[in-house]
Amino acid sequence: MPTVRTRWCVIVPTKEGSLDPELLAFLENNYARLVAGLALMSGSVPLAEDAAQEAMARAWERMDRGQHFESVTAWITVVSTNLVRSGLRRRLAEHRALARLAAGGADRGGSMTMPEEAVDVVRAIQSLPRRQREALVLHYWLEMTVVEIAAALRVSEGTVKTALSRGRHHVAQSLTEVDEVIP
Amino acid sequence: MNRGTDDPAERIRVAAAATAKRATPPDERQLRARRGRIRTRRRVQAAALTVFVLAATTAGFAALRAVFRGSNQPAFESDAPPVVDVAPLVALWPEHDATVLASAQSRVDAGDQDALWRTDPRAVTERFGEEVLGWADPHVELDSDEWVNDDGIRRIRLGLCPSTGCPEGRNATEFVLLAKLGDGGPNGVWSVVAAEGDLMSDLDFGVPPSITVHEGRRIDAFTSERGPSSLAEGTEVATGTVAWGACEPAVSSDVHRIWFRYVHFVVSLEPDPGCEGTPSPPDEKASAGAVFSVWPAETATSFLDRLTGSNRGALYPLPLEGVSITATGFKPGTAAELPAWLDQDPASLPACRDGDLEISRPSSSEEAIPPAPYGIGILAVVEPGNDFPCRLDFVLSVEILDGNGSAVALEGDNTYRVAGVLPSYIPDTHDMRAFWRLGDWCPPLDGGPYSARLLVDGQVTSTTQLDVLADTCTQTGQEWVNGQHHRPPEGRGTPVITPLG
Repeated sequence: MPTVRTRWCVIVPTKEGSLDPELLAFLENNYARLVAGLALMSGSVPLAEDAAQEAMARAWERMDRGQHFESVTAWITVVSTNLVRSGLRRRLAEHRALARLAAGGADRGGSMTMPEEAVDVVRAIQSLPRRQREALVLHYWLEMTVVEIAAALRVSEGTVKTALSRGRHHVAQSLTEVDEVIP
Repeated sequence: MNRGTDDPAERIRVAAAATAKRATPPDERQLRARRGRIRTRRRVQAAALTVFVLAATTAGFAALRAVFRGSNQPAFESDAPPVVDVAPLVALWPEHDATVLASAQSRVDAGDQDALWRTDPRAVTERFGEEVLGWADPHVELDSDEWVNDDGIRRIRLGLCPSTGCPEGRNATEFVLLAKLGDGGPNGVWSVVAAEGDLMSDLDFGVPPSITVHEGRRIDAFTSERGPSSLAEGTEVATGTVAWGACEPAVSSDVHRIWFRYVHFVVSLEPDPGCEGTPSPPDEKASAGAVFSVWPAETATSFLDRLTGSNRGALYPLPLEGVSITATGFKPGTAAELPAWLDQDPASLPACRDGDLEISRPSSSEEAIPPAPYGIGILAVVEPGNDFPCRLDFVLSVEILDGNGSAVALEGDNTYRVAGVLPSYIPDTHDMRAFWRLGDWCPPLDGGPYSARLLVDGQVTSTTQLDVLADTCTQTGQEWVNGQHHRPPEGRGTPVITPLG
């Protein structure tokens, strides 16, 4: 696959109905970070971008209707995580099923869109139950506190702590196995 | 490769940091288009809600509304298709009737010791395990989630395990979704509104609890694949529908196979032929019901017996997937035909031959193709030529020809493998598409007109003139449709065709 070039990609705000300054700030400071986290959860950069952009558009639409967000970043993070969980997993599984049917065909499910440094980690994270997967990424990458994750995932703080502990243990185990196979 | 650290948290950060470099921010036009779609969806949902509120004023829902005060809002805020019927929540178990539920609440309010278990979600879950799943002495072991949706209805999700405990890998776990449908306070009774088995992970009927489902509606239930413990492709599961009316419950069940992670079936509500009063379910009025899927398939009969209270079966479904619905009779125009081949192993289908497929000529347009803000998109669409499915597996590629018909040298490999089945097993998938981006190039205009030639397994199929190239290329460089000028990297650049997944 050719290298993706991004040099021409710019945000060009327009005068009328332009992006809210908060959303512009989110784009500049947090967008790439969120996409990376969602990509670790879903195993696919395009799907992560789809979710993040959909959440941004929803936030923008609500702002137009006068809704105020205490934290736009937090809101977009939660909504995009939900989108990855609910809708996008279906597309991934469909791609996997199609790839399996095509004997010897490459898996187009998105893993090959991940950078090489991330492939092992993504595989390890993908093998976790959903809650552990989300808790790990939200905590260790998006730097959300246990309290914030509990609120976002609608579970108790104890549940988050358990998920983090178990998830961390399983990822360490998976990565150790990979490291032993690939010196 | 040097991974640097054994700390999993650090490994996650390193992987994420590398991934973040791949993130491409959207341009404002993309976000604006998405926002427009969201606005449209919201307006349609508001219209659907208005229709419901009008419907709810009719006598059919009057009794339910009296019991479920304020619950005439959509159960879940969703992005479901716009034609959505919304009804008050109904339960999968133990009651299917608002009046009986109100009676159970009255017993609790009166301090009836035999009814107090209904206020304990763990007890309700355990009894559901005993009486519906048929598990002896089940227990609630897993963590619970509790929340209140926008509709104000309190919900809780509990994990239920057999008496032997929740096994490693949790194959024998059932997740039970309970809701307080009436009194939302501490003394409110809990009802089971959905059940999710671990093996059919995330099975999604596409119908949230309480939604109105008409006879004849096609259900495309999707189950994600989660590790080796998930049900394999080709596994037989029983699917069906229950509706509780004035007489015996109307029950239908059939066996289908999982292919491409989908199970397809059609809602069938056979009225009780022995009923001399109001048929069950009523032809037009709504009644409580459920759609379900159970595995192994042969457990369906005993499961249905337990769910409908007929008798206790001997075979235990594991897992059960069930969602409470509001069942109604046939609605003209909504009945679906289910092709028999949807249960057929796709590997057994014949390979596609001439006439089975229609491959379009390559079409082209100028557009923003992420991550670049402009480019020329080349699209080829493969559609089924008839209603009989076949397997396709071939490689599409594109050549660019100059005005003399000579092939222009292209960088890289632009082959695109198209593999699968058409017509598709996957709902709302009517074709397969190959999409390329032509960029980084602005040829001398006097060398044209240029054409795109589509090849299937190396054989030329069709050619289309690339008029769009003349539109976008000026004498000095390329021009984006929004007036943003861009030049190829060096001089007039070298053409690159990138297949896009």
